[in-house]
Amino acid sequence: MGINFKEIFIVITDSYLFLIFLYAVAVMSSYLFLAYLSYKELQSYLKRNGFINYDVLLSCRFAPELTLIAPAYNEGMTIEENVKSLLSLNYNNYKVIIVNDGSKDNSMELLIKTYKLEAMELDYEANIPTKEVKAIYKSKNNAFRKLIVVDKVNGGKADALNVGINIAKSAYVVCIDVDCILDKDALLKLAKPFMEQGRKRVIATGGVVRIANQCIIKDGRLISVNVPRKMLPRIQVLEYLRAFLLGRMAWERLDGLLLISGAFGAFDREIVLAVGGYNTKTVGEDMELVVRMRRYMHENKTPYTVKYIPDPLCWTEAPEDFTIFKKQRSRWMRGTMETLWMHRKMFLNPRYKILGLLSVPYWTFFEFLAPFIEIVGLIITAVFIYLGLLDWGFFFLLLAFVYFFSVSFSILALLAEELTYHKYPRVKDFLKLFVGALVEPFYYHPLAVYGALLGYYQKIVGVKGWGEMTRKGFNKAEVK
Amino acid sequence: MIGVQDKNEWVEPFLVVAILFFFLVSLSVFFVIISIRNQKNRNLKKEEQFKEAIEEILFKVLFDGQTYFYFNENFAFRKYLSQAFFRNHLRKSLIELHKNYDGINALRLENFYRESGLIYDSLEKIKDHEWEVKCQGIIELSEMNIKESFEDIAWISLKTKNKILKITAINACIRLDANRGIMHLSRHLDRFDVWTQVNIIDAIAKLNIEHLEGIDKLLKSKNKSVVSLGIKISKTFQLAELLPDIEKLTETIESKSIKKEGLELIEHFQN
Repeated sequence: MGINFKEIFIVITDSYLFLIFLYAVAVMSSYLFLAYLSYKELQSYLKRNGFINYDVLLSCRFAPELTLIAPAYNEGMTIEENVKSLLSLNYNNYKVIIVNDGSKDNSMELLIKTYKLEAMELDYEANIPTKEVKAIYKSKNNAFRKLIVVDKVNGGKADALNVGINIAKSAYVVCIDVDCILDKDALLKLAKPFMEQGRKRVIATGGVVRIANQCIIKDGRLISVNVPRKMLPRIQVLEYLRAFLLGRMAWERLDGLLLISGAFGAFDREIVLAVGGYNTKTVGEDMELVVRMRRYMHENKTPYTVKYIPDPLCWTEAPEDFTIFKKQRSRWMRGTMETLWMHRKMFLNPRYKILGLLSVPYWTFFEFLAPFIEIVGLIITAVFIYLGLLDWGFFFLLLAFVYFFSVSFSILALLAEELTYHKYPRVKDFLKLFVGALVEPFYYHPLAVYGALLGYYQKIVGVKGWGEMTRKGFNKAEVK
Repeated sequence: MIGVQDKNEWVEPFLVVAILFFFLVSLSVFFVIISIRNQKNRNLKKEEQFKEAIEEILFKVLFDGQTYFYFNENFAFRKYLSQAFFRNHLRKSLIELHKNYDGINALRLENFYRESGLIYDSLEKIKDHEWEVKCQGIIELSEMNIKESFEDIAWISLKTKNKILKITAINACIRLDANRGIMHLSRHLDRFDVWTQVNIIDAIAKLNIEHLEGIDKLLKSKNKSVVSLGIKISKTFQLAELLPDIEKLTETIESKSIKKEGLELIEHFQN
């Protein structure tokens, strides 16, 4: 009996297409389910928020003390203004620690001059081991009494944050990127969940990060929100809307949030110290810290939760060109891989409840594996085209299915934005985003997958570190 | 693989239907967004249209001492008042304006609120089953100083499990009758977290009361969070006369956190 190769190939083709189809359906269903949960939670939050008066904390002596920690590396262009904006947030009980992570530019000189800094006696207790701290400065001017500047040997973002955590004395630390634009009320909103904790200890609170390219910034404050002119950052606006409005709130509701953005998050310092602070060996230190803190709480059988605030409290600059974008995506993918690998024990482990049974598997299958499955699919498709075995009708149906889902999901995110924060009131801006949604699957998605694949490659060949992440800066073009 | 051979029987029709579905969803959501924006614009225009009339009415009430009955003779006013949109805006503007006045001016606005029947909308709201509607009603009644609603609001504050409604109701009670409102706190059995306590302290602080009563009752409460609130109030308003009560409390209470709070306050007073 002879082997009919053609029939075998047809069965393989069919199986492959069918598996891809099942995977796509699983991804889409999970997105829709999370979007539904997220939107319900968002609505409920906004309803509650309408009756909350954050001003009660403005002059309140019982507001918890917070310490803002902002690592700075070669931020000389904008550091004076950024620090000024951090010192003028609406909160009465906070300190700001700027950690100069061995900048090669004149950041340190500028800070010393602008804020009249003088070196204090070096009293540094390294609860978390870090690179050498050269000096700690405080201002001679009482107007800047909240400010502490630390000069240290370069050790990366995680190391700089650890120095800040070591120096902080408060119960809560807020870790931010120094070049982010924070909402005036950001700290009021971050502090509230810590004040509400009862039986469950609130170990971390995260906030939404939005894209600020082309927005008008003045004196470190966001004056007007605009949609980016370039397509790459514009589609990132959509991507952030989808992730933050139609995703994170659902994970909060399920109590399975694994990621608090490195750009803006508050943490219970005692727990951060107990787990050893940020991991300096990963480029995904933000996600890794949250996972490690959660794991620690589970292993110590301490009731806890992680909170998330959906208000747009932090605005950041998205990469505008592909070179920077691919570096960022590669780093995100390496960070995901490293975190999932370090905490592989949690995968499908019922001991970690929703985290082990849902969050970690979700990230593994739908965040880490998705680019791999896509590229394998593309390679197999190319082979089948070459062999003339592809069922073109089914292939195009599958493509159209994915395309229309992607478009409809982005438009749902725009609807969620419309019904909630309405930050893009101009019709022109809405239409720009709509066009972005139509273009995204052809233009942006392949670039994002490429960035993620680069991350796989760099992880395999052992590339470490962030790579240069140059930013255009808000102040060059946007200030009016 | 199961299902592969007969995929054409259901997978392809499924894909066609799904594509059509997503396409229609995209299209409809697009138009929904456009219509929401149009509706918002229409409401803004309508609001603008009513704004002038509402301002005129309220200024006449406030500065000319006109009552509701004067306006009620006007057919257009009666017609407008029957529209929910107008009533809502009139009520909102009235309450906003009331925040800026006291004495006779505030009283004129309160009378207009009662006579025009706007008060009934607020009273209806506090009976609603939706907590946010209840909250809105409570805020309106307390802002317009409707003292007779104290008991109803106090009852809501005791019964509800919704924290925001509880805070709103407690604050309203304090606003309507400060000392009675504070004493009422000792009846609460649920735990007040720090956020709730801070909100209550803020509500008391806004009233600028010279002599606070009933704080000693809070210090004797069986509810530890109420005791903690009592200590915080004593600290905020420098109630040194309560020092003996606090000293007694720190000697007897088992809770370490409250004992610590109490000792800190004693130290604060002694310094």
